[in-house]
Amino acid sequence: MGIEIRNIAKNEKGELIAFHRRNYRAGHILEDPRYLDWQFGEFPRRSDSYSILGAWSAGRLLGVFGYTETPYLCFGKRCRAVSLGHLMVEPSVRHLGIGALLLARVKKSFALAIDHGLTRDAVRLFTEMGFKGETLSRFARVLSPDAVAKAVGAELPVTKAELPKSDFRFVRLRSYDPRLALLMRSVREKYPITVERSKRYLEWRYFHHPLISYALFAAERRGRLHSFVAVRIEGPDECRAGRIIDCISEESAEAFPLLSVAAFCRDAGAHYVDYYFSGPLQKRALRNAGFADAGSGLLSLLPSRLNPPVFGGSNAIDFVVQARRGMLRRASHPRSWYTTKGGGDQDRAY
Amino acid sequence: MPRDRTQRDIEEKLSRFLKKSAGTAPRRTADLIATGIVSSFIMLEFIDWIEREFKVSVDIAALDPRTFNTIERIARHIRTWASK
Repeated sequence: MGIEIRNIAKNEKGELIAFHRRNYRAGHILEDPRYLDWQFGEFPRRSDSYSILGAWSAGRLLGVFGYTETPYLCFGKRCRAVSLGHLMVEPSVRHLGIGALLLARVKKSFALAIDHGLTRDAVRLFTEMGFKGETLSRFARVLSPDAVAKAVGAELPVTKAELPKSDFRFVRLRSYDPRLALLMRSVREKYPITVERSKRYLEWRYFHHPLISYALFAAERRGRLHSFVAVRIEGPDECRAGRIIDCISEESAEAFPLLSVAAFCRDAGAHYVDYYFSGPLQKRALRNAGFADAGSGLLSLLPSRLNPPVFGGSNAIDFVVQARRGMLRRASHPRSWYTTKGGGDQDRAY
Repeated sequence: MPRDRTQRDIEEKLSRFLKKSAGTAPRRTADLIATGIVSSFIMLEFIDWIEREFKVSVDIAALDPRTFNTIERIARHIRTWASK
């Protein structure tokens, strides 16, 4: 077919950035070499090439597909998984199969694959190539009713929930705490398929992020950590969101960190807390912590502060997963996965 | 590809392939891309099949989706490639 598919070398960065400049909006994060090095060049190992496949023809870059190899735990076993990033083909050669060629190459190399934030065309491509999709749950809690009402033009329901008396302490983590390893071990069975939150992963993803400042917390009791939460504050001053990006918790400690995060977000100037996640877990704890389903109804009016979502509404597919033949059949069911929507620090498609 | 294969023969073959893979038999002048009949994935399979079926080599980068978008036009491309 006259197309060469290969990883883009780091010394081809100029060409890669020029491609991104041609094909994405001005100022896109994919033009930022620090972002490229972090997202596609450091984890899980440093390499001379980016984890970005290029489709080349006669030295011309026609399409790119970024991905990040991310070790996952799948029903207690480690496996090679991949988080799929941006897929872009030059407009002059779109619809000729180059996107499918790139996806097929990545898919072949990994046991599990996941992607978020898909366009309509991408959903069709992914589902035709064997992926299954589902909509993430969205839960939110309004902290400042007046500010939110002004921003969205409607009064949104406010739920009050106070921190119950407990012997948990909510501690901020400024660097990796070795006790996190024990926590991750204790919740292995609770989250059937999820990222392996190793020291290396957490440091790369949160503690040493070159562009984004995360607030990271743990619920501590008697010297042990029982929950881990990552949050960041986003949006303009008049209506800011505290976005929960990750929340791993033992069952008994779930509501406490969610309530504490809401208190932190209020103190940090956020007007509401927002959380996108997959799977059936955490919903009861979220309700106990004053959150409500924001997938529909008035709360869905809250600004998402994510990529501009392509799919709105409750029947949209906004993440897809794929498990290689031979993996457990249940691994290919999206409800077995615990994943959250980071958005923003990842690539912004539009 | 046999030299005497006509435009109509090729179009019929293309149409049969699309009926099987895309689940529909489009008109020979229907825009396969704009109508969504052929997705990126089906196009990939389609081109791969064209190369094998008609013993031609397709350079994707040299194609223009605006002129590679109907059964009639694709058949013309195939005849041109086969005559080289």
